[in-house]
Amino acid sequence: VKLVRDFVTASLVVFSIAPIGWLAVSSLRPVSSIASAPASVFRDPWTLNNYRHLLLDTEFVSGMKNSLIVALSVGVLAPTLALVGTFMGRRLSSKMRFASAVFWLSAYAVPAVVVVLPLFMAIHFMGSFNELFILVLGHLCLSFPLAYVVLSTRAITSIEDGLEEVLILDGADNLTVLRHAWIPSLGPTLGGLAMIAFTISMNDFVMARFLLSGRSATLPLVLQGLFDLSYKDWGLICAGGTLGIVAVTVPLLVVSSAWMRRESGGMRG
Amino acid sequence: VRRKPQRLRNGRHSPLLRSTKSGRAALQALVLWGGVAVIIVIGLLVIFVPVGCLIGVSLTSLRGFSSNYSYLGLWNYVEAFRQPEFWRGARNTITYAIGSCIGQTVLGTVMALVLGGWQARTRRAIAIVFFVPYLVVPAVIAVQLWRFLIDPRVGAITLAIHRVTGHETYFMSEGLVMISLIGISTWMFAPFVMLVVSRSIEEIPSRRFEVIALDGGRSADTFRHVVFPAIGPAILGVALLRLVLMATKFDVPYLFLGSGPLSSKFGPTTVLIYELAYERLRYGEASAVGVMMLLTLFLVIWSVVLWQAVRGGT
Repeated sequence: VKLVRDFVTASLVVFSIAPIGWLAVSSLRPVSSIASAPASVFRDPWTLNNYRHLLLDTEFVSGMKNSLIVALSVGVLAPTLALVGTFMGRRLSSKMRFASAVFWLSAYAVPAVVVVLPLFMAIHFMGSFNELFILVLGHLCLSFPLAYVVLSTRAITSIEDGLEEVLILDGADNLTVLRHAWIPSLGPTLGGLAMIAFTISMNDFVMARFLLSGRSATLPLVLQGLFDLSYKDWGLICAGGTLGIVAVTVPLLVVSSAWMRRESGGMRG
Repeated sequence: VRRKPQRLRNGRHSPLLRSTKSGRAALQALVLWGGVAVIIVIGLLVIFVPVGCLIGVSLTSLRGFSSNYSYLGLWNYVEAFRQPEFWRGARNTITYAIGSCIGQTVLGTVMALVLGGWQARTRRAIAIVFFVPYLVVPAVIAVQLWRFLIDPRVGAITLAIHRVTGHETYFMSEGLVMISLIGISTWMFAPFVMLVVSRSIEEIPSRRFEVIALDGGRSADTFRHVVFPAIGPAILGVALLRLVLMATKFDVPYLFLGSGPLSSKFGPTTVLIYELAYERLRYGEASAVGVMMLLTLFLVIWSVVLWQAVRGGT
């Protein structure tokens, strides 16, 4: 049984990350040798030419900048608004709270391709409006329902029993209750939701495809542009894919390690 | 019950209240109600405006942004039913959604079961590796990566198959393209199922494993009598969620099939909506198809929710 478990685990690990490893390795090979047999990976000289070409001759850097602006905005706004919404929602009757949960659950099932149509029309009528702002709004439509539903269920179980009531009896105002009871109790959940919203926004193609023009293209659009060229430069595509994965991974690692340090520090204290 | 702020014996407010000055009340109201206003706007944008827009436009002959359009009633719906491409899109949606849902559920469950056998530290490391395709690989890159691996000229998988069998395999051929699409979706989204199922495995009390071990039960008995009853509802729930999400998926099929004959022949309904609206500018017909897709989705979701409620489930 142990042997089977080890074999299946190893196979699944290879299945999960070998394609990404192959992409990264191919990005370091000269274009001419990418089409050669895999065995020649270790014989061919490795090169950074694909990356140089990608960073200097394409829109990769501006796409990355636009993606980070949008994703960081959504990563901050989605959990913050969900926190405010859940906090104010707690003052509603239980029936209203249930109705609001059903509403947002239903919102989660509305396809992005449907949401994007009115936003697309709005952009058309608003003309030269800031497209990245509209994209932030569009991504909030994707992330907010999930954040709201998760927070409203976590708020019931996470906030220390009676803490909120004690603060209210002490005469604390709404912001004080939020700061001293809600944020400390829901901190890890908020951190997780921020990371999810950031990732959804960084990865989104659908909204960006419809709402943005060429000058404010985000990273997925720039990468797709490389793929749509009539002549496929696989070296460039592999380098773009590898850097795109790094661009999503690094902020996630930084935030999650800072968050874990804080959590473990809190436990020690 | 909200009471007036209490004062301490020395006549000063408690430390908590000292920070709450009266001048902040307006700012507080502005922040909190401003947040609520933004949420209402998002709510309008997420549900009311899109659905209202869809229904309204589906009853008209709107093409592009022309101001010359007329009220058609349900004509767009009748017309959609008469088009073979509508039924082809529906068939492709069902094939894609069910196929990838089965693939993800089976693979995700196997991942979760395999994880359960490792020590906590190793389990966490393996779970992170399993989670990589879902978390950090955007759809655009995932599709390009797999198109690269199965490319007939440069693809590592195609070359490897050719070396072993001597035959050339065209994964983008009509016979294999849907299987390839389902395979990519399975690779991308199976970790989501793994996350949910492994969580439900972790919640099984260790006492149950000890009891069956004391009774001399084998691994198969443990699975049949302890693990499966515990993870069954989680698998059902997550499979339903994946089915709905895959039925509404646009980016992976669109990016994989490209815009061309493959897209027309194997594209699901979401791709058909895109083609009708953004390529042919037939907003009326695109909206009618969108409304029918939404209605079907909500019918499926609420049938299952009601079925669960009638059965007494959660």
